Amino acid sequence: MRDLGRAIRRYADGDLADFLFDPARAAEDPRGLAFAVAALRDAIVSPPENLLPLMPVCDSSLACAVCDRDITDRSLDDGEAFEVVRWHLGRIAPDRQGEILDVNPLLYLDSAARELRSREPARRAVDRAARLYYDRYVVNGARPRPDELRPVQLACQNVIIGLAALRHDAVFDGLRVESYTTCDVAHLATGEADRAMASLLLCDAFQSGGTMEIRFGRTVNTEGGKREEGGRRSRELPVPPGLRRFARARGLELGAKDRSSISPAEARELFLLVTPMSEELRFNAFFAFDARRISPERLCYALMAGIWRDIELTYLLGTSGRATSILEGGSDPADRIARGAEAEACRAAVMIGTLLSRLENSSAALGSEVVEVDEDARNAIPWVIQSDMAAVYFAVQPGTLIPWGGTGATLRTKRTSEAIIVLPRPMPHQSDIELLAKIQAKEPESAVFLLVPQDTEMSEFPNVPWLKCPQTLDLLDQVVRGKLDTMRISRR
Amino acid sequence: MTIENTIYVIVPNELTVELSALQERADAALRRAKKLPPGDTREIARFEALSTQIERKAIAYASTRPDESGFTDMIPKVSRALLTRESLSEPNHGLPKDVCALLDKGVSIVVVGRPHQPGDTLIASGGSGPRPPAEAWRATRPGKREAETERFETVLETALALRGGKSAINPLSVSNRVLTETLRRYVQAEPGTKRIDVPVEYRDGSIADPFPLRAVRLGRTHLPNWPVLKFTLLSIRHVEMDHVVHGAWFRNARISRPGPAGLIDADAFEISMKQLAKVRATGPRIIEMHQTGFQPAVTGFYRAVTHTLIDHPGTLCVIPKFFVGKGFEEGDPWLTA
Repeated sequence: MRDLGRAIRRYADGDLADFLFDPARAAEDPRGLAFAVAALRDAIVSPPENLLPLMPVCDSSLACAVCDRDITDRSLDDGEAFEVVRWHLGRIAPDRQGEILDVNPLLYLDSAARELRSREPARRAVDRAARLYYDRYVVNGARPRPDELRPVQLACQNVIIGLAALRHDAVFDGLRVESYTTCDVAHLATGEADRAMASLLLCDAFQSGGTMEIRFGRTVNTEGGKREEGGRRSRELPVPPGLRRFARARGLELGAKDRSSISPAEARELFLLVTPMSEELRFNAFFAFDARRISPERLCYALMAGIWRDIELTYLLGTSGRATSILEGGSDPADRIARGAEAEACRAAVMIGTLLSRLENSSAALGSEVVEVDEDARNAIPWVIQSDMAAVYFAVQPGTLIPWGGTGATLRTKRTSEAIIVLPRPMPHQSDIELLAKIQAKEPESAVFLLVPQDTEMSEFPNVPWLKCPQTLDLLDQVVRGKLDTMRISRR
Repeated sequence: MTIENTIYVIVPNELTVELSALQERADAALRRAKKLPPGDTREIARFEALSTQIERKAIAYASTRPDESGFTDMIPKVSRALLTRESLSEPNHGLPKDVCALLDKGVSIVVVGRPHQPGDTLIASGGSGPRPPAEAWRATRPGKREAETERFETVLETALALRGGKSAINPLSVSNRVLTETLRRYVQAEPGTKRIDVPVEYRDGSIADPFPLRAVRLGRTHLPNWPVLKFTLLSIRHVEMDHVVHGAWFRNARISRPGPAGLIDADAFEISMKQLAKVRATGPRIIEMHQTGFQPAVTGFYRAVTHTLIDHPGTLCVIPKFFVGKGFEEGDPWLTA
């Protein structure tokens, strides 16, 4: 704690003068430590007594060092500080309260100081790049080559959360990020801006087709250095402190060997870190990585570029031996059996993806007299893929509305039903009906359905409970073809 | 993971007529697809839609008449959904013997791949642990073009060391000028070296014909006194060049389409071979090729030039002209020594 105290005094006189809570200030001064502690005590969710406020993260949250004792304890200076967490003063989802900002308060202060110092130059550099980009490409309606500098602005709910300027660099056959800056805001989870920006950089690096190395700052001319405007020597920059902190807090060290570079191996780890995956997809994906069926970068790209959704990829990896070929763009159309089998697997995956979206967005008010007022309501529905049957279990509340039901009437699960089980079969055969009956016998408490395209003739299968997704077989094929083509030409 | 197998459905006479008509249309679509420019997938989409219709009808029929169908673990390699006696002539079709016997008797059979049969398939592992990430690479020469050249040379050297083995070159990774100049240096055959055809694979996974390296002895000086034809590589792209050139080598509408780069390369090669033959037929010529980019077209063109120089030395000279700023710079001529 003594080291932390010294660091606070040093930074309070330097880069973080306007941010750090100063113990010397009066209790009513918003920049004083006493004021911050009082604000923390007034938070909607009371914090533990051992949180020492360091500085604000946004308008409604504070970065706090976790101490080994109560912060009012007189022996606090003799104690130890651990990680830095973000404590929200207002209402926040319980799982978002107390998220780790950094693993060590000294590292946090150092990275915050560097980040704030680099923010304004980065903002100006991106502005310059944006003006140039506008004049060269937007005005002329032209598309830039990958090696031309491209500005990027990330915003969420009209708040800018990240800026960057990037291009492919032939000197190391990777992505050069000349400027980078991000910030945490009140309405986003901790590190979300860095996660989003890192995803964007990694997807661009994948598409550009280089080694996946990412370097920061401007190119160093090996012939003595090129001079920028103002006579400063152009130079490379270290991996942005915010991005390093984001990765460090999640157990990944960036720029370990070269401080200006995210190496291809680190890029792979970072890609896996920033790509949200369900536990089931993670299991199937790592199994496929280990078997060298697919590269981690390709799978992450497929998810982050929105080509395949989580449940769709899980279904493909878990149930079909053709997932590798599908993720590389599919077989030759002239090999009809292979292509047909891939198409069938993909159609099934798209149907369950659509069904999950429908279930997650279904309104409880349908069919009742209650008016629903929630906006953007999305109920997470747990699901499991039954790999050996290519069936999908959706865990829903008893009495849940079941969409796309047979007779057009509103269907609901029984009061005793625990799950909706669907067998997605774009071209159903008698053997699928037999499998459905087996599942129904095994799971009498669940609602079991055959999931088919809209234009499937079900009169051949009387008494079979079915759901018809809104897409026809033709429409499904168009969607699938688009996904396969995008995966094939994704890495130019 | 479920089991993938194949279902064979014996088609009754009343259905054969309908399915045969669909299959004929599908075959025609596939034939038309081969004639279309690369990237135009309309006919492939039509072929797939018609094949799907056949498969769907057959599966529906098989559900009502299970005795007329059967499953097998063997996955054949055929291009049609509806099999007839003619299908037996497809090379390496991989059809089971009993199916072959039925086809030989004139029975029509629809074959469909079924990916989701209950069971558990173990997928063979390609190795232990994930594929290693790429190695970081750094140019030793200053400047963008030099760096690109160095990177491309590294790839070419690796491909040559493996004697055209698994290591492929990717023309999209470098600029038009670096591609042309580097390929020219490596096409050059030195005494005692043997020709090596290196694979060409684009980053979209598409494959083009191998490029012949160390294949022909090229000269650098003493241009012959042959008539000169001036071309731009692609039409329409830079109309301001129209008063400089005699014509365009490729029609932009045919070549500049979104689609697998390997197919564009193949198309460019085929067109170039035909056009070079026509040019040679009028006597030896110098072609000044004004090029501004589009690497699959550049690769296809210079592959055709290389083959022409190998097969008909002393009949052709190609001088690349690279666009730089407001004018063109001349590259080394592609001319046999």
